[in-house]
Amino acid sequence: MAALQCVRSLSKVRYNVLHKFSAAVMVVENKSVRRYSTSHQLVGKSSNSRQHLSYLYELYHRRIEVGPEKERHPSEYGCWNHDAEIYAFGQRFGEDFNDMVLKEAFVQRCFVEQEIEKQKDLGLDMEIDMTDNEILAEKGYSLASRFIKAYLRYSFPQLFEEGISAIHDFLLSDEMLFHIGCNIGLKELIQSATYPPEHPTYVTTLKAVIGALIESQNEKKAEDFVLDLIIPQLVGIDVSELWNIENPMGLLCALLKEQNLGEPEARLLWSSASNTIMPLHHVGIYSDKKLLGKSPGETISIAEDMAAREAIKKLLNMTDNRSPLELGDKAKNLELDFNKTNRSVSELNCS
Amino acid sequence: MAHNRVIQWGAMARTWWLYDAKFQCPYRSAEKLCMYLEGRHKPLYHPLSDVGDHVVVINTRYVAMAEDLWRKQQYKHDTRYAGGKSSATAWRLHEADYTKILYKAVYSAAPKNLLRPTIMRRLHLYPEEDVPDDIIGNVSDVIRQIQVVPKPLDSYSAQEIEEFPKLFDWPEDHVIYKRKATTEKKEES
Repeated sequence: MAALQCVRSLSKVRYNVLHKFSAAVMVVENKSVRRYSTSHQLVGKSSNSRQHLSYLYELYHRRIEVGPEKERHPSEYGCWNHDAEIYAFGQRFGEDFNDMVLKEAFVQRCFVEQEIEKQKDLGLDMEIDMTDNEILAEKGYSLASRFIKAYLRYSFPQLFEEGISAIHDFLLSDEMLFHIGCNIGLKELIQSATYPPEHPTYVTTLKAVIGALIESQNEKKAEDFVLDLIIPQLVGIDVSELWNIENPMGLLCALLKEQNLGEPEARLLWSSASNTIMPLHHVGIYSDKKLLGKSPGETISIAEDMAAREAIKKLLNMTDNRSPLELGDKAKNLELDFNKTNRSVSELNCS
Repeated sequence: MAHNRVIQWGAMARTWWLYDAKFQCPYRSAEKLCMYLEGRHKPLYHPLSDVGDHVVVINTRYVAMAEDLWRKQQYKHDTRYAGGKSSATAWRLHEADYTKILYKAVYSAAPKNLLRPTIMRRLHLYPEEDVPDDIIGNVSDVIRQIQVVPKPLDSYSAQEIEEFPKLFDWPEDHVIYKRKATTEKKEES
């Protein structure tokens, strides 16, 4: 009771908190006090009090008025060791990075400019020994681009150069690199003027990390990094759809002519519900009385177009049942020819 | 682009089937037709999804009933007014509407839920073989009949009957029951 008397002098809110604690204490018959170690009794009770409800209501509306809490960098909470985090980043990939180079890979140009501004504002005339990551990014990008093209040419030897570059552009597009960069924990490590960092900074930083790996170790290690992080993004993606063929029937004609096969002939295999608003037509492409490809479609012309694409896929060994891409340990010792290029569509038409 | 899109279009499209009800049991046919109307023959079937096909049934006039069912099967109707109950034998209902027997058979074989009205709308019944062009133009496949269509004795030529192997000849004074010609034959002649 003495405890409760003390409590009465406290404010209402404090009283509520203490009230919870007092629930954990029980006076037994022999007047000894037993304290329960369980925590479920400490859980706040729901209150029906009108005062308390209006207090919560006020808090709720103030929160809405103020808006959400600004996203802050962990260093602002006072527990951040940048060097250690950067070292841990390298160790997570199992790569032996040079710490100085890796640190440079995360510095954005805007961050360097901001630092110089800060120095000026403080009236200090000191030189800032900081380089941004753009040179590293350039290095990293050219290596990734070269390796990806060589890898794709090795994996799809029949595919035209246009298709290869379409897949390459997909893998090295800003959205794809941003997606990868988001998921390997670049966010807190990037040193940029704003936090959270803007989307393009993720892209340059990822490229710069590849560049840093070339500087720290060698090109082979950097290629393995690209092989493990960027190329697996093709898993589950229909590669043949990345390349939009403008005139599939024309390309098919040229391909068949080159292989001394007959002209492609489109035949209606079967159609259903043709008089309704949802018709279905199956068209097959034949050459020398052999079925090359077939496809459904809502109109005969769409089905024919799709069937021609299927036939091209078959001729280029790009059918859906082809063997999967070589990734991981299997692909570590591939003999890639970096100087080879596949032929382009224009070459085919000329011949 | 988007070959997957047309693949999906192909998977989700409703196929139109043709079923010839000539000399077929309406009740057992109905079970088979329901399989197509509900979409139970498709790998993507789910009882709550509306993925059934269309079925065009021809020759519903010539459905065959087992045993005495034409006389004994009762079709009951209740208007829910006083004295509104009535019942008709199968042959009378069939006379009133040649598609009614098969319609009712499919209706009772279909799932008893809110999908039933939509399922029934995909059933197209025609008493004879003449189906409108816009309906028959949609059809792409045929559902196999459940019973072998018997060949009636009338359709055998005299020569075929003559050549049929016989074990013995009836004595000349033996009287053979002769079947009366059907009413249709009379109309034709």
